[in-house]
Amino acid sequence: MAQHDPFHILEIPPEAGDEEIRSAYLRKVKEYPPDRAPAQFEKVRDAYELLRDPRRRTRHLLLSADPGQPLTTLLEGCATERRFTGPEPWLRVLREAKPDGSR
Amino acid sequence: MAQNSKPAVEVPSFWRPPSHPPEVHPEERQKVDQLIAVGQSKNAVELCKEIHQRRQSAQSEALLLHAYSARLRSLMDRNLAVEARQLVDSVSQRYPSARAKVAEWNVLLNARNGSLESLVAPLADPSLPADKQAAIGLAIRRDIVDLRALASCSALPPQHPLRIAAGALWQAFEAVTSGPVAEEALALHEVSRQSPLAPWKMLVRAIAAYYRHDDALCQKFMAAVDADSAPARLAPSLHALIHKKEAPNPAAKFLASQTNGDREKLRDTLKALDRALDSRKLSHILPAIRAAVTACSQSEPGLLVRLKQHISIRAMIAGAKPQPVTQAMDGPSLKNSSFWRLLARATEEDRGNPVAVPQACSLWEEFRKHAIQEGSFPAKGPEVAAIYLHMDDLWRRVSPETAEHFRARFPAISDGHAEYYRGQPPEIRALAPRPGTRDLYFLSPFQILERACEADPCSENFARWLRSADGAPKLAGEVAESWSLALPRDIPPLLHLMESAEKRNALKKAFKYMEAAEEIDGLNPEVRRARLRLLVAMAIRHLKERKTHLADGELRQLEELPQAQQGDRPAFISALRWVTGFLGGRSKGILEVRAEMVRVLGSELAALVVLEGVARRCGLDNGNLPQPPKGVAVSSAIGRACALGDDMGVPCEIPENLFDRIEKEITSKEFRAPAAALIALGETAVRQELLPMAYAIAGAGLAQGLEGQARFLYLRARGMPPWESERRSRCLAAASELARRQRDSDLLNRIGEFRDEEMKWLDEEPDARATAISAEEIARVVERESERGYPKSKPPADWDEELCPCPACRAERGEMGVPPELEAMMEEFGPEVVAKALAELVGIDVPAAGGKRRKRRSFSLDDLDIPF
Repeated sequence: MAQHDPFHILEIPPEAGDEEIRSAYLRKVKEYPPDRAPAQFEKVRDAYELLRDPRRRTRHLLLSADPGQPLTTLLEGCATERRFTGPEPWLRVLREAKPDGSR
Repeated sequence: MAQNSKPAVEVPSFWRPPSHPPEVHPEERQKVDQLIAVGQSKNAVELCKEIHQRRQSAQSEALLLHAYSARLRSLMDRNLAVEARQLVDSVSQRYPSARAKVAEWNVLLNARNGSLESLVAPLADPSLPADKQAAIGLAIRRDIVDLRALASCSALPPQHPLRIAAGALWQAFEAVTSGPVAEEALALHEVSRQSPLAPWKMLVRAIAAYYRHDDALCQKFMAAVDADSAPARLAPSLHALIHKKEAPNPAAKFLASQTNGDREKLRDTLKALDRALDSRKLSHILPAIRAAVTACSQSEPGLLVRLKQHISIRAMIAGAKPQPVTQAMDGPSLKNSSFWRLLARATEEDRGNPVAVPQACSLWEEFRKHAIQEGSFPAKGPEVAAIYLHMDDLWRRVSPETAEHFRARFPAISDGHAEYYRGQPPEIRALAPRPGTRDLYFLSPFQILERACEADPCSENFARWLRSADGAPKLAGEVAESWSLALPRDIPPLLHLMESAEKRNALKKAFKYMEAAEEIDGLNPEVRRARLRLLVAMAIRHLKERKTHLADGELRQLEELPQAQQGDRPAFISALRWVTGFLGGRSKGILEVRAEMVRVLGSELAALVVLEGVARRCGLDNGNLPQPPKGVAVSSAIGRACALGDDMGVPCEIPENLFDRIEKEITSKEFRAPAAALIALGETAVRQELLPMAYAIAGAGLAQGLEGQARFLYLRARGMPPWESERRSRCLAAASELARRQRDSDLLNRIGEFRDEEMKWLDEEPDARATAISAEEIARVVERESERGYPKSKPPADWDEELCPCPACRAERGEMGVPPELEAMMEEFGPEVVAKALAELVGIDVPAAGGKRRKRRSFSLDDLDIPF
């Protein structure tokens, strides 16, 4: 489901504004130029076309909400929270791990 | 002097390159080195023991100690401190001569355990040779993890650069792992590039970038960390954290659980809750909710608000009562815009519930208010308009009667969602609808669209608002006025006002609107055509009033218009001239005018049909058309006349006495006719409710080739029996897609209007219109429709023919006939008198006394027995 979501394709949050949408589009076009990755480029362009128009963007916002979606999908596209732990857990790795990561 | 008086410090030499005694056989030495290089230090020790047993020389002992060094390094790298200590003790007992070496190892082991004094003490001597400094530096770089201990190591003076660097790094390390840190704070000028602690500088920056979610930069910094340094031990763990991969060791797993939370555990509890909700058993649902909320609070607290909102909605869908669900969630979910959006979506999906549409619209209104308050979008603008348009879409699902029913009942059955606002924060409660003052605009599509136009005054929205007023001319006029006021450069509202005035016979007013449109865009083809049609309408009115001298004026104006000289239009002007001459008693020139018509139209029959249409509109009885001679292409000629009539706003009719000839022609395999003429003929057939004829004409047109395919498919759909809804949908979808490609907005509008009517008749969902269709599918539809004859299917068993409101069925049931009251009046006063009286009442044209009555009858072909 998230694979077809224009916000997911452009890697921007749903609250992104016009400028952010445009920047994301330009960044993605550089990543997937039409001559090298036409299929990906088409996806990016379609996503941008949908999001650049505030009417279509809002319509997408309204209709993309799926009240019946499995709850596990809430974890998709949700950036993992990175909690500050203090130095101890980090030092523990430094003390216990070999340079190659194994014990 | 002071330096000379310092006690001599023994410098550890464990990182000097090994120098093998030459006496040992080179091959054996090489074998030992190979084993150490591939990490088999234990085998290397065993081999050296065997060599030493054989040789028993100082050189073989040195080689053995070299292997023990490698073994010790291996044990230390694997953090096997006890084993390493046992090894050092064992070597110390067996080889007393290796005392110096054992002392070095002890220094290293102590340093690993945090006793750094003996390792770093030599650095306090400024005259320490560079190679010895490098050896200690290497040991620090590879083994020292405890920066805090190094920063406070008493073996070095407090101002020693190593202590200062360690102190700064420890402070930075503590800071980046404890909270956000500005990039400038990580400059760490105290740590030089040559410092053995330099890799720590990169590590600290990498951790800061990780917490900023700048993973690319984090990896860049980690790549700059020396691979054999102590900080490099974090590289695999950081990589696993960033890429959400399995942690490489228990310490890394612990780090992942501390920084990322236990996402897998949360996923498992959510899966369990999904299953419980699907089971719809409250005894399963409530414990699963508690477990999921607890797991989310622990591992993803940022997700908790969304999760509780989804749980509320899913539990509602599963039929759980709100109270126990709220308790299981440890409080109600937050009723912000996200909640209202989910609830509105869930409600509108409840298609079996008749109150779902007004309820969903009410919830979308709550969403709108909250989204604006949250700053998601401004109070007016295209975003808000999109919400209103969606509400209008929802209302299209229900028939006008149902809508009216709920409009009346809704205020009594809806409490303004008061229960959802209980226990909410003050800023949310502030938006709760107040009883008695609630604005129920969302129950009226007309008011919804009015708001959409206020929020986003664009042509598309006004056009939609105008369409919603279809059937209420006064309201539509007001909408067109508002449109024209908001967008003064838009032509469509002016044309609507013009047509509306024209229908009311207020031709001067219509002319003013047309002139206003001309001022804006005189080259607009619609506007140019409007002037032509208005002049025609004025001329016809004057001819009906027998004011031929006034009609002459309009005809002169018409003849001067360049657009009147295009195509077949001169023939129409000639027809008007003919009527003017006839009414004015001017026989001179009449024959020439008629000959001119025949010349332009290329057919006597076409000229007659146009003349008949014009004469009828002017209140003249032109009598029945004579049968054209055999061999004359009837369909093409009548089609061409109909196209001209449609163009000039005076539609012609298919003569009743030619129905059979048309039938024969269009069913013939050799039949060919210009697409434009066929389309006009089909449109006229639809207008005259000759639906099987329209169906047949469409089939003939499709069989001819590509030209006009979209219009023929539309005609085909119009001509189908009402129960062939699926086939009709495919035809309309194909016609719509072709019209979209050809940018035929007129056809698109007509398809839209037909679908709207169709939905009203058949109670179809609006989603049906959105069916996408590929080029291949269009080709298949065209092929099928150009081959198939009129549907032989019978109405389904449950088809309530009596209630079918399509024109064909209504005509068949006699519902299209005259009401009984009017019938009685006609018997008393005669049909012409009644028709004239009615015409005056509603402002429409009607044939004058003795004129030909427009007869509404079905096409003679039987719906079920047509042979094509």
